[in-house]
Amino acid sequence: MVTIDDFSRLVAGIHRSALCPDDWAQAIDDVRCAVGATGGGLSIAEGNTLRLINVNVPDEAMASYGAHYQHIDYVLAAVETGPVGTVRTGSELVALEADSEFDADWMRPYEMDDGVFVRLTDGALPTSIILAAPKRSRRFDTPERSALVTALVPHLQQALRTQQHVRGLVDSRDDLVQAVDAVAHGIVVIGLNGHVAHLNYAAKRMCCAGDGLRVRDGSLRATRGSVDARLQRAVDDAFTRDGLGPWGGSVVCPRPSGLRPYVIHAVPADRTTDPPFRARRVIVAIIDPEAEAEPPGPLLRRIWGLTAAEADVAVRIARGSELHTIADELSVSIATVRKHLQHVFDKTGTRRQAELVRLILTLRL
Amino acid sequence: MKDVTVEDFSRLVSAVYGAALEPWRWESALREITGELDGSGSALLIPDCVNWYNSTLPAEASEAYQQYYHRLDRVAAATAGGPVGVVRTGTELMPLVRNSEFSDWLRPYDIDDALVVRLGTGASPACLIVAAPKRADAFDAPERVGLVEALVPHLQQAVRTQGLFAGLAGVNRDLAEALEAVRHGCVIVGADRSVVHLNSSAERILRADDGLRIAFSAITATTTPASGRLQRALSAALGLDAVAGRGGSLLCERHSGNRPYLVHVLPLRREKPSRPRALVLIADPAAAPRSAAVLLRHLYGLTESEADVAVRISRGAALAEIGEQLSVSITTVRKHLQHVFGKTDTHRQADLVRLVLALDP
Repeated sequence: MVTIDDFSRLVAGIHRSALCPDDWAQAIDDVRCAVGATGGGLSIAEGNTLRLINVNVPDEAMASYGAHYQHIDYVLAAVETGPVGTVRTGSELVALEADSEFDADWMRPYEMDDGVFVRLTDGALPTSIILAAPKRSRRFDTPERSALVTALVPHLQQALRTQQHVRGLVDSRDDLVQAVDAVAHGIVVIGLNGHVAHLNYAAKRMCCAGDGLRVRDGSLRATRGSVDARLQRAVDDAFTRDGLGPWGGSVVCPRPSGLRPYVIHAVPADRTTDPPFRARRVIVAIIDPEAEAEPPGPLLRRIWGLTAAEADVAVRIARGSELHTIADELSVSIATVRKHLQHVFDKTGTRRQAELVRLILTLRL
Repeated sequence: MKDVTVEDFSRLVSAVYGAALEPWRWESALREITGELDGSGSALLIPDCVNWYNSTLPAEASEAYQQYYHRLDRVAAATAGGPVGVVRTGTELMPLVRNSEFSDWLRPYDIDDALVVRLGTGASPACLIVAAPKRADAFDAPERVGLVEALVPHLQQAVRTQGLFAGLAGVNRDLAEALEAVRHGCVIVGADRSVVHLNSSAERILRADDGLRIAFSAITATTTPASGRLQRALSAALGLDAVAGRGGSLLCERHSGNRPYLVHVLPLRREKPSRPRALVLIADPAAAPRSAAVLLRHLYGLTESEADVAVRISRGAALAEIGEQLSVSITTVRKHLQHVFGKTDTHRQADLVRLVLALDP
């Protein structure tokens, strides 16, 4: 068998591939060389398709395999339906359908009609390692080769588990990033050192607009000094104060543009479970009352069956317009606006403008 | 020390990588390494994660080390300040601590020799320490040093892997907390319509089983018209039908008779059609804004009565109703409302409702 140093090198390559899947080809090729196989690969079942990380197999062999032979590859089929972790040999598996089309027309001409094969994972979509070699008078599965492959199997399995785990973490990170980006408010996650750990899409836009808020030296700051002092205190309070309500602290942040000020809330998050109950993160939610997206007319029409004219009136009411302004804007009489509004009340089950505004605003995202 | 076979080495390496995935397994991994080297104990210091795993030292020894003696440990300091990946020996480093205060800590545990190696870069790198008692032959026999050297790249990679996992898990925790700050119920739904993530608002709503619930790990509307609409909106958002990548909004009636939930379904990750995701946002029009009265007083300087009137108006009550509820005349309610308008810079009730609702993310 190989020396400890050689083995260590093979295993390091395998475990490295768990974090950098692009390295699999190199890791498998090293294993292929160590056992003296002609071609090798990792076959990964993915739904109805098969992904092959193959090494040292001629391109034309791979092309014809993908186009035709993969469907009659009885060797791989036997490996994938067989026991997990067991080293299977060419002499055992190739013989299952010796001289069949796959054997005679593909494996033999490409000198892959012997070898060792191991199914590495369980489940309906298994991953297997293939180390193929030409059939010679002496069987490929010598005790040394089998021992080496047997010793590598747990490492291959472990690396695949690690890879799976990383993928799971990365996937859920991507999911959460997008979900947080879909929120209309600015959301900023602040870490223990006071630095911004994450900004959602809306918060990035607000900070870039520089209309009263920005990120400086990694921290969220209000541009006006007195407001900034209140903001930093609110964040600090959210980190440290015991028995704080759901709101750590709230600040109104005026904007140089003269638009309605931002409303900012700092909320403690990820609190320690033992006293002192210190938050490890603070979530800052920034609301831009100007940008409170109003739901489009079509949505109101679909949800409550409003007519186009009724939806138009409802949207304008929610925006804060008065009836006579709406009448002017739409060039209709105030009586008509009132009539539309009455229908809107009836269809939405509301009785007053304030109630209607409240209902419509809950449609915001 | 007995000869190390490839099988022995393979077992040690497996244990090391296994610990990267499940850090509680470091103890047994270190015990195996200690046993193979015929030492008396070993420890892995991972300062960035504030972890100390040791194989054989009693708990009070670790505690005393972490709380006090680590500052006096000049062997660890020399290792952490030395070259990366080089195995250092007790012959070289132990004289640094002999007859120092640190030997008070070493003596009861019979630590007199060691092999140490710095694994990481940076100001406070991870280090491996394998300790041994005083013996006739030195601990730094070539076979031992060779084995530790062979383990170094694996320990390094395991520590890196563990750091990566901790980092990703931390980011995911942060993002999940960020969704907690949203008033709406937020549910992330996977390709098979199963719930992948939900915030605690969503959990509350779904647990209440008032028109929406989780059945067979999928989010389901329990009233007939809403059920079909929700399924269609999900299919559209997940790209399972012809109109790919579009979501939808719907009303979901409630058994309690409360105002229906407003449900928005949005497609997520348009750039990765192989793993579609949808975000379901559930707004409950019946839920009062959290602590709106407190916020109005705090942010706009309203009095208690003014804030009370403002909140009731934002819930849709008429002035006469409010007067009755608070047992005051309608003139008084009007007067409060005038003050509210003045202090919040609003002019009409609809304006005020917008402002109050905007207070709550």
